[in-house]
Amino acid sequence: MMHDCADGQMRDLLPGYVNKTLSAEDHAAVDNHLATCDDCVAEIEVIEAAVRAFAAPQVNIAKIVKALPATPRSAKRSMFAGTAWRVAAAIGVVLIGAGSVFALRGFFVPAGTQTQTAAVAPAPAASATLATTEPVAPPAPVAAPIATAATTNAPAASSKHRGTTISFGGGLSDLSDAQLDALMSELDALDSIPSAEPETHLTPIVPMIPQADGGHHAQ
Amino acid sequence: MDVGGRQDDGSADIALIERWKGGDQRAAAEIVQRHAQALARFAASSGEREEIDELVQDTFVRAFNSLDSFRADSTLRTWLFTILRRLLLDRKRAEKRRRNQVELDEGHAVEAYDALDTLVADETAIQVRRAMERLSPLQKEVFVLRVTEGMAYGEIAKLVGSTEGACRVHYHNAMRSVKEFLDDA
Repeated sequence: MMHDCADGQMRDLLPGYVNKTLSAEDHAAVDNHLATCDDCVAEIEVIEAAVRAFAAPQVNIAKIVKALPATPRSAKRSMFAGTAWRVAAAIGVVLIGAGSVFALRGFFVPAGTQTQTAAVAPAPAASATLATTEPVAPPAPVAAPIATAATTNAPAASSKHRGTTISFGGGLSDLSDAQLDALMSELDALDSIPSAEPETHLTPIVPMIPQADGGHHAQ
Repeated sequence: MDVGGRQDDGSADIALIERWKGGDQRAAAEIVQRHAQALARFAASSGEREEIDELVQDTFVRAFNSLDSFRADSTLRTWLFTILRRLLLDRKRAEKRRRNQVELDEGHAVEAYDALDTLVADETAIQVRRAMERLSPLQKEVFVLRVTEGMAYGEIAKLVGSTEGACRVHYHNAMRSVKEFLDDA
């Protein structure tokens, strides 16, 4: 029959004694106590049996270590490396974009060099003039009739837009009073509603008679 | 007074953690080396039969993933055991749900115990293990942590969420129960 030792403080040391986690001083004190206490010797045997009963299977230390996350410092290093690449890529994209914009605006073109630039200028009412202009200035006089296309070599109104400019006419404010009057007269002369039926023009069908020389002759 | 506990106050673990944070991966290996076996023993004592390796590995992975939040209010060992204990509780809950769905195969459970017995070499150890099956889960936990790991009552109390005094009572009641079982055997 097993009993409990009356020395509670000594009993508290027994698990540490079995697990060898006591200080040298405590370990020696337990050694001395065991020499005279059968209850504590019996309890030591129970503790040792419990330790044996739960002998754990050997775990794979290497596998566990391999599964662990990287150290914070190496993780930061790799994160910084990734960031540096991203920043470099972003700078590259910005430079390419800026270069494209400057190129389109002609920043890289030496003065005096002509470029092919297309611009659409505001068209005067009821005027559809297609003009090709060389280094240009004031718009071509709108003496041309409505719905005609003219190619002019007039100076550009703006020195910003150099080169060939496609224009659908100048502004009304550029016209003289006489030109405006002429334009208005032409507009008044127009039918507001076009004819519903265009005039029919019939071409008679003429039968062809074969000739002796192999040709044909209209009858 | 918290007597009978481990003399290691955890300062060695703190130093290893600092080394690991400084980029020394070998420090992680040393931490695993120091605690893996004890964790595996605790997992086995709580009734885990399989996947103990995975449980221990999960414990370390979770611990290292949140090592920045470790404030050393307790020792690293207590913290690791706390993580493992939560994992074990999660598994037990999942197992309980599964058993509610699937009819319990009693024969399979007996076979598992028999297989464990063959691993334990001596009859006394087998009897102690069987005696411990009669303990309450908390008594068993306290008893195992005390006898197999030599943990102090204060450390156990933190781990199981109890008080030092209550853990002392649980331990002595468990020891008395085991002795009585062995006397009757």
